[in-house]
Amino acid sequence: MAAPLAELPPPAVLRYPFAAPAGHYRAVVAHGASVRLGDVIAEREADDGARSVPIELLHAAASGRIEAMPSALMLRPDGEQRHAPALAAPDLVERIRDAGIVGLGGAGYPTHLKLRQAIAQGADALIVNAVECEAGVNADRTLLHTHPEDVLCGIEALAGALRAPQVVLALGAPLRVALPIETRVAPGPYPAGWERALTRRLLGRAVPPGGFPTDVGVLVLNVATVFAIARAWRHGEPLTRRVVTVGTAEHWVRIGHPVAELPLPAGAHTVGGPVTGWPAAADAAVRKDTRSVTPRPAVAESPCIRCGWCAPACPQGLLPQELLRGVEAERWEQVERLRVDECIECGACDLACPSRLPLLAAFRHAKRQRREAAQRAHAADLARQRFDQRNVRNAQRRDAARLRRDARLEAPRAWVPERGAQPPHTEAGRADTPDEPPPTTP
Amino acid sequence: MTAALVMGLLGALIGAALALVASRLRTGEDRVTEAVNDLLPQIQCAQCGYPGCRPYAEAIVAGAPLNLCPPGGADTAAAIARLLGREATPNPPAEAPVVKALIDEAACIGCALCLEACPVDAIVGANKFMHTVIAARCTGCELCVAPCPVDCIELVPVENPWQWPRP
Repeated sequence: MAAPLAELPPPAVLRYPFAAPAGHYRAVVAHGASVRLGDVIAEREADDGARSVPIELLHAAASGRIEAMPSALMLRPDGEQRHAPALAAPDLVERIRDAGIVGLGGAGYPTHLKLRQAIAQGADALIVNAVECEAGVNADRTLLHTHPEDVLCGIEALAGALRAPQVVLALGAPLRVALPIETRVAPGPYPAGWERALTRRLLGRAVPPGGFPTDVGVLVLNVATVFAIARAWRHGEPLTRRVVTVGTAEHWVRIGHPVAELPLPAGAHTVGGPVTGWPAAADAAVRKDTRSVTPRPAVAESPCIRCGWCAPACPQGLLPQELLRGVEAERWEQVERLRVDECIECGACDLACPSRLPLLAAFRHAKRQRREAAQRAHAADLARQRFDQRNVRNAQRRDAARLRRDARLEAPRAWVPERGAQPPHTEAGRADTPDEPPPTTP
Repeated sequence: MTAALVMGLLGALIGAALALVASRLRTGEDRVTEAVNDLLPQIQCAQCGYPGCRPYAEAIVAGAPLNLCPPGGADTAAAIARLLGREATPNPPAEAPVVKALIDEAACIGCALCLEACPVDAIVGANKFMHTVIAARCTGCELCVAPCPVDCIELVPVENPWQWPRP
């Protein structure tokens, strides 16, 4: 077993921004609240409005006091070691949900949703993904070396939930692993760790376009995710820390650790992988999907020289050069025609580009724009439907009211005393209308 | 004689087909209204002076000015102008920020006046019970603010949280 990983000391303040690439965190604790390590402090809601249940829970990574800011939740650790009670849900899917586990490989998709989907679709294979997604990130390998027993425990728990699937540990390079499971080295060029590529190359199952590996009965989970599942299953621990490559070394880092306070040289930083990462904002913090934080090299962009190297580099067969021109000119129809939604954000085009153009950043921006436009259109559609339905309903009510009034107007009236009028006489005389006023004399 | 019969029969057939097609397809004006309505933002705020987006779309087809829609902003006005082949409107409205209504539930007295005012049925509640806004359905039209007798409705800007840095 290798030397245990060092855990970074808690910073002066942990920061949990509300904004997320998918969805939005909502605080469930008030300003000034005192929380323990592992208490739920926020919930992530899907931004499509389709789910009313939170899709992810966020737990405090230290005991301390909450400070609510407009754009983020701050947690000031008090140095004490107060822990929330261990998670106790008896069902693995529920336990994973309660632990707030998401895909730690980078996508950040809630794992309980993925596992539930895999169980519902009867998945019969589990790929534990330890292929480093990109050069310079070693978190997966480090975890396998330092905590093999936890990884195995997670695999066993998952295998039980999936009813004894075929389990494959996918590695990026040959590596001696002291685990009694089948290991396979994923061949092929970058992005070899992409779950669709793994499913195809390791198991020979092609994922249909637009589908997921669960559609062909395969559940792909990153080794760090499996580790987090083991901690939640065996120890009842929620996800509050993760292995992050900081510069060149791996550390345990609390979720919410400000990027500016990581042991890195001052200057610009890249969050989330040297290739697929993005420039860190001044107030950025480590999130659940933050694989690495590295110094950002200064890059001098040059104009596109139309060399076309980006096209063969794209694993999805897109045309990055044409796409970039479309995004720059904001010609969204053209961008859609060039299938920007199929971009998997691997950054292979950025690596291939001799002009060092920010292709990936442009496509992320375009995808976000398109998703927001689709949401706006959907919301407008709903509003129109509800407006039309309300108008129909109001018209029906108005008509019904008028009919009732007309009916009342035309109904035979009760006798109203009127000067010179004769009281109505029924055959039974006046006995049936005892409260009738006395008739006037003729 | 045969010629007259054939021509007459042909005329009757074509006439029947035309009548069928005319009854199946909606009239041109309806389709234009629908297309204009599709371009409007469906906030239903009535700031244009018409009671909703569809009435404004009908008015536009009938010749109303294009620059009455603040939520749509200049982009919408320009898109409608392009669709109808009209001249771009000289002073398009500035686009308004996206907001949503929020009821201060502690202050709500349950008068149900805002329920009536909401054009998209986005407020739930009943007489003498607390009301609340379904955020996912609220269009931020502000129509519920004026009727509230205790001023417990405010419009909060929608954070548009995550933005990848623009390259």
